[in-house]
Amino acid sequence: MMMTLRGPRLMGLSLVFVAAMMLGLPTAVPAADKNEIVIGATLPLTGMLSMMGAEQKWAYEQAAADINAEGGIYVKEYDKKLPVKLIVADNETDAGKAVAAIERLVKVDKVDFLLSDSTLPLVMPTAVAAEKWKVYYHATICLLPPWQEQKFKWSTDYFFDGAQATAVPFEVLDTIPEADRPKKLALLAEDSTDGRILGPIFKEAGKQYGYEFDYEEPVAVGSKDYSSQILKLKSKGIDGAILFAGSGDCVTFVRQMKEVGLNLKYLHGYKGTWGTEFWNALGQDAEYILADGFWSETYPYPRAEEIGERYYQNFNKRSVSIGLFYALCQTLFQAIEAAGTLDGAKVREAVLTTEFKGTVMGDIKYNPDGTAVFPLAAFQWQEGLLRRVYPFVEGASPVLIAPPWDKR
Amino acid sequence: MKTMGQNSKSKRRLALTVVVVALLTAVPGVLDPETSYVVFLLFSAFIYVALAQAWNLVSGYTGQVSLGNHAFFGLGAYVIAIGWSRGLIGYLDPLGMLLAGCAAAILGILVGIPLLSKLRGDYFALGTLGLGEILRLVTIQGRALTAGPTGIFLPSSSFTTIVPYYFMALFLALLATGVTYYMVKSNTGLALVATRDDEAAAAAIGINILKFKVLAFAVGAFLAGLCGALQAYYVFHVEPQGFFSLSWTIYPVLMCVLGGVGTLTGPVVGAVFLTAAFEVAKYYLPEIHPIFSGLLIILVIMFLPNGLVRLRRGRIVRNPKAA
Amino acid sequence: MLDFIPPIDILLQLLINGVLFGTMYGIAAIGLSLIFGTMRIVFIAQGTMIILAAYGSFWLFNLWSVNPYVSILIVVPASLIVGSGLYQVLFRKVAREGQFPTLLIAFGLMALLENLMSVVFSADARAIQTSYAAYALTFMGLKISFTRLMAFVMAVAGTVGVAFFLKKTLLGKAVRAASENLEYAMLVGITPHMVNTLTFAIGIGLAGLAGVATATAYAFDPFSGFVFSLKAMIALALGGMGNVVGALLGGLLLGVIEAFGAFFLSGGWADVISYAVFLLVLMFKPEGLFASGTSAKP
Repeated sequence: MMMTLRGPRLMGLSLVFVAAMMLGLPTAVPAADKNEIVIGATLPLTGMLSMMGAEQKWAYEQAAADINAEGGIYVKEYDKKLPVKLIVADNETDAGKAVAAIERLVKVDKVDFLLSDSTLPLVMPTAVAAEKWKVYYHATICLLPPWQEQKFKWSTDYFFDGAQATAVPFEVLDTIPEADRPKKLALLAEDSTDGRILGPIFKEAGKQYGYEFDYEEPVAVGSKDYSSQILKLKSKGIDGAILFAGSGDCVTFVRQMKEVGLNLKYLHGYKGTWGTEFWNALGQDAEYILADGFWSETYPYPRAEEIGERYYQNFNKRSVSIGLFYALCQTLFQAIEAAGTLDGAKVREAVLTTEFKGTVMGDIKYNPDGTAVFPLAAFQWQEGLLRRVYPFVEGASPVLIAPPWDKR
Repeated sequence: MKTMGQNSKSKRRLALTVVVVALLTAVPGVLDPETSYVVFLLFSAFIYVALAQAWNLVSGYTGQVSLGNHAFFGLGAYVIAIGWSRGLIGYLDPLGMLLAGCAAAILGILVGIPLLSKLRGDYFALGTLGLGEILRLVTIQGRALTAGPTGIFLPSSSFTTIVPYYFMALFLALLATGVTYYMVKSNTGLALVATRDDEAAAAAIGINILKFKVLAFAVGAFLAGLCGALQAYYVFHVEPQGFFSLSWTIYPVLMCVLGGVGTLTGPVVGAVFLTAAFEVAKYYLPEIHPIFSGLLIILVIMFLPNGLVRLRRGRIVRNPKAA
Repeated sequence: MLDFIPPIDILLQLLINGVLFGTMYGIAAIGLSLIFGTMRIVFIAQGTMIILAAYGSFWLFNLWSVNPYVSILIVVPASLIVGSGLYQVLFRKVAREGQFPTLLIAFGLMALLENLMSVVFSADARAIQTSYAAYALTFMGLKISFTRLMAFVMAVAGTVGVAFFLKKTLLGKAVRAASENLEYAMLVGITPHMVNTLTFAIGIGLAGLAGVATATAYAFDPFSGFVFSLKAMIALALGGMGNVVGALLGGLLLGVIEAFGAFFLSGGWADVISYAVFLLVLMFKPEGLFASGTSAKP
């Protein structure tokens, strides 16, 4: 193989070019006199989870803008209010890219703190990265057990408690008169980390409430054809189910359920059924289906309604998650103020010890192991709107039994 | 073949290589590796150099388009993850990495023999593409061994500094380039190129096509496996989606094509250039930059088919319909 | 897991579902097969083109309430034009340089379109919502999804149409001649670019048809194209490269394999099985399972 002379020379040239490019990257503000708090987050702005990422980014931006409108966060160390500067980096819904993005946020943008990425497959690796670079990482939407197992020292995790979240369907089922309740339940959990972890917990919760699953099977992610499985359900006489899957998969599943003629009195969806896109894709067929949700704008907490309304004004749809992200910012901001410093370890300490009052998620208190929990809500599609059926605090609606397909 | 002019050229090239390597070796000493992003960028550029070179060896020199880089990359990572989590190998264990490379090479041979002997390039690309997908699905179903879709978490407390990673990645890049250089200069390389340019004629003069193709494929797999192993050590969390992601194939291919397929320096130039370019694109166009990698592949193939390092040269692969 | 022997009607139902679903793979595979047969281009962006067409149908319905089945009249001709455009713009220059550059261009096109769609249309899963969206016909106790049946009809019509075109028309004969022997085709005065343009147009036209079928029968998002391409490749490998009828049969077979795999094992393993079958066929019977009977010519 012959090579031209151009090779080495070009290599040298490109190295110079690269060096120039790297110098061109924005360099950090000198740390001597702090005049802002830099908070970074890697989010899936492109790729599979980009809708989720966009929602999360919006909530972070709102929280930062709201605190800056008040002049920022008072930090005792500097004896003044510092505004928050939010830097969001894209991770393309890819764990490897998320880790690289954290590296950039830490080294180029010199962030003081990190806010949560989206979903466990992205949050876990970024938590590891935060550990590597010793930056405090204020995380959420990551199931607690895998996070706890790693005994992270530089992050915290605010999420629902598995036992509570899996008990929701049974709490709701208990409100239905016994004669109307489904007789045979199926558990269909997606073949993913979350699904695998929650599957056994659902069973455990069922047992506690006196329910048993007559059928359970993992659901393949991204399959276009679930009719074989649905046939199995039908042949076993299943009339109620818990379905834990992504939104595309849930849409496919429900459509094929109707095609095959499987009638479920009660279908409680997790993860995939709460989005507006779910209703848009299914229309009337989505009616009566239940969905989980992190938050509700009908919560009787300060600003909950206002944030929900702001989201509605911007996007013309409702969200059952933005409150979680907004509250996450609220707790971080309060913790920074309580710590009186931008030192990551001390702020984490403050997160663990402060009692956060009146966030849009209500009051929040972290456990010594770095976790904090919120109750997972449940909604039901009723006339095109998500009505909250759980928790049974003020503003909740009663759950409705789904009639068979041919009686609708 | 060897004239005086070429000798002095290769001497100059050697000298330049030594200087560049010496400069790169000095980087972690000059820039603070704990705070400098450049060190990390170079680290990832080195891994891409090695991956691009691995692909170059298979596809650039043999003309067989492999789309299975990520399969070997992920396999290497899983060998480390499974071995380390069970205490069989240690942190940044060279033996463990060797094992990862060998596992990938063995898979390369196992898959390579039937795929390469029966199929012309058309099927080979598909088969290797399918291989990555199969491995991804199998690791998801792998229960306790692969920890399913969650993947395996490694003890991240082992991490102290990026410096050893930097040098290991640099070593991998040099190794990949060196191996490619060696294989190309040797009889193997001549046979590979002969096979690429005219398979029938190569067979006619007695070249054992299959042996050389499989050899190149296995060596490429070995290198990709090593890269996966190092990445596993760096990320501390090995899971199916990220490690069997097609981007571990696409990006090296793009880098190789941009730099120049079938040249020694092409993958190096392409990898370094694109690592920097993507970084800049990510910074200034956070929400739309993935569009550009696709666009770039198309534009490069159409307008720069021979790569940056040789702006004019013979066609890469002749029309396979003729063969 | 096999805790009961399913009654015959379930087996039949599985078979029907598998066949109906397999047509989606088949119709995608036919396009691939044609493009591969004439140009030796492994067009892995086919699945993404199908999704693009599905979006076309989706937006026509959502913005202007065009019935999805009527939208065939718009989407398919548009696909034909896009197909010939694709060839002229992207592949004309490199078509004869072998599969190396063409494969990479197809690859780049896929990455470009996926991300473009997710930016422009958002990554939300979409599905067309009509009164008959999840309607099923009952036939001797078996449920047959209306939209899938329509997809099946469209696939068969598409295959018959293409086969008829290749056999009976002058242009079609030219395509066949070119896929069999390019030199000979040139001798009798057929310009390869014309044939290639035509083939690409038909191939992407079929993608358009498959797109409408997808939009009506299934949920889709910008990234579902890649798996589609992979599955179509499997169908193609089962049926034998460059074999139109084989490609459809390969798709049907794959659909049936998946339906039974998902029923008897689980959804996750169904995919593993289909890829394993794919690799085994590639390794040990690369000419395809239906190579001898139907041969390369429809």
